[in-house]
Amino acid sequence: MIELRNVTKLYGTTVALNGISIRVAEGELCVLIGPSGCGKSTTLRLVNRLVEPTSGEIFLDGKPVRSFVPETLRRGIGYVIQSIGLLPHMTVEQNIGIVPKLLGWDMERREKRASELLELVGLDPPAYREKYPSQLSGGEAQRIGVARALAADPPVLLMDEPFGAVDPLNREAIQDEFASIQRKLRKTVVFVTHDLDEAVRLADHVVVMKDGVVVQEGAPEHILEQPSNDFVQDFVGSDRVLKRLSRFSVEDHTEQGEPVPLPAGSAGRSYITPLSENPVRPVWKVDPSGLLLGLSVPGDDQLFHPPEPFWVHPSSNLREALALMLYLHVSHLPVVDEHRKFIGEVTAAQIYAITRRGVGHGA
Amino acid sequence: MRSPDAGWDTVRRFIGPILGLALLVWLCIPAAVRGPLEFIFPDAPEVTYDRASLVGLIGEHLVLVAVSTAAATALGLFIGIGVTREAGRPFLPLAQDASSLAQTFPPVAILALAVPILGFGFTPTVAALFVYSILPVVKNTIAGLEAVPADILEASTGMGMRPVERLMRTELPLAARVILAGVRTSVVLNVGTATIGATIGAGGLGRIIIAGLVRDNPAWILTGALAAAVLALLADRLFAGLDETFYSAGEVI
Repeated sequence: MIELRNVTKLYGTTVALNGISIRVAEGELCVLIGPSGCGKSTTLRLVNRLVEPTSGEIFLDGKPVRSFVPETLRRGIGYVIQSIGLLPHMTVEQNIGIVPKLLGWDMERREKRASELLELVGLDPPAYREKYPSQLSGGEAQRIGVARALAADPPVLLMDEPFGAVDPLNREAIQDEFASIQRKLRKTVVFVTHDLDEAVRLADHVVVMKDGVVVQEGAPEHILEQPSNDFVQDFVGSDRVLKRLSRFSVEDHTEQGEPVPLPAGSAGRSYITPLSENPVRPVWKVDPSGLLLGLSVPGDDQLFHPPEPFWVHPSSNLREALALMLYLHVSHLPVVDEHRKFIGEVTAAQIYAITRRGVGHGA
Repeated sequence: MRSPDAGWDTVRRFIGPILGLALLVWLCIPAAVRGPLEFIFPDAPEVTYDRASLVGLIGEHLVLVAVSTAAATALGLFIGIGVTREAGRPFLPLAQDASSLAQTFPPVAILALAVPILGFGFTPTVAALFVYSILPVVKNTIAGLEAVPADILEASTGMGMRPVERLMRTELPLAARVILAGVRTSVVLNVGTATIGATIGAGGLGRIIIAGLVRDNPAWILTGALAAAVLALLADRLFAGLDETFYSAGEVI
């Protein structure tokens, strides 16, 4: 658990932080977000004492951080920065082993740990262990940065725009991977970003900052639903409704459909007419083992095959589902598992209801 | 990575040093050099220097250079590291100016100044070479340490390295190549400059050159100058080799 109590930081006469108080619960991922110069990075660096407060107190598990020797404190806190800062003269394995080595782990234990972590971040240990940072792509280096921060299994991670330098395509992939790592490890994470989509994707708790003060904090869906003032409203943008939808999973909003089995080997016709012109609930057609084949309109047994993929998975979010509905001009989508086995359906009516009511719970 | 040209590259890399070494060996055999030197300098009274063996002179020369450069490297590193620490930073401009000033002093002047204090011979010459060669080491140590990227320092500190750990594990390894280049410069400089030590009786290859000047014997001057030049070349290649060994394959910094 991390707590900042009434912290002020002055640089000369410039006020970087003006009496902020933040609590990050154990196992929670807290995102600090705001425009450049809002003090979010300074806040992060207070926790591992790279920055000392002018006044106020920072607590780690109830103990003031100034009661620790800075180096001892830092060895117990994983730290990832935007430029990663891999040491160019060390191999990937040596880089991951830096903190363990500082902690006095023997070579065998360090190597074993490096392999575990490479696997955790989705890189093949034999292929990457001996590489130098200059031989890595941006995304790979970023993964190594995360692995290095996790090396000594610290309970707390500080991440300062860790995925900021990765291109947008890889960024989403790496965010998803990190989200799944975090679901497994449940670290207490303070995460700085200026990318709202990233915050919405990863955060349990969002702290919006501006000019050294906390403007609003809460669950991401809450901030998207009710921005507390014009600044936050502008910051979250006019598409906040869409962003908010990405916090709701298809899994939680799957309605039971009634698939109709077709005898094996039945042929169908390619999908031609957009269903939006005929907004009826389609009949989902499955084969005897429950695999989705296509659909038909009520009262007509003709089997249609829309262009694939015309389904969503339980792990998708409602924003993705809505995008697919708009793309296919439909108001109903089948939900299938990874083997295309029919699970249920998700409807536009539900999505509208969520955006209107603002109820429900995030992913 | 080995390419099909690797073999040819090896030949190219070693051809200079091998030729240099061959030239040096040849110069060291009086019977072998007598003929060609007599051909070039038909008026010279005696073309070979018989009062000391060239091998001995080369040995003295190398000792002069090794002792002075080792001392200069040690102090240069110490100063360079000291003035780039937080506490020493106010002295950074002073260190840079002082070492530049040392370079502008002609080595002969330093010798002349050193004699009344240290007397004649080996010690004042080493002192002069030491003062003269400290600049490249200080300059490159500072340049190398200052060039370590800020984010790498930040990451090192953020991971919990103490200042000494950060210096040893991050800063010096990253600055080593630039520092090595500084040592290389000072060695090469010193091989040439050490010849003047002979004027105050330090020995080395300068002895044969000075003797040639005094006795008006160009064959001796050529022999000494050639040997010193080849030594400088070999020293330079040695450091180039060290550099290639440490900073080739994959370790692109």
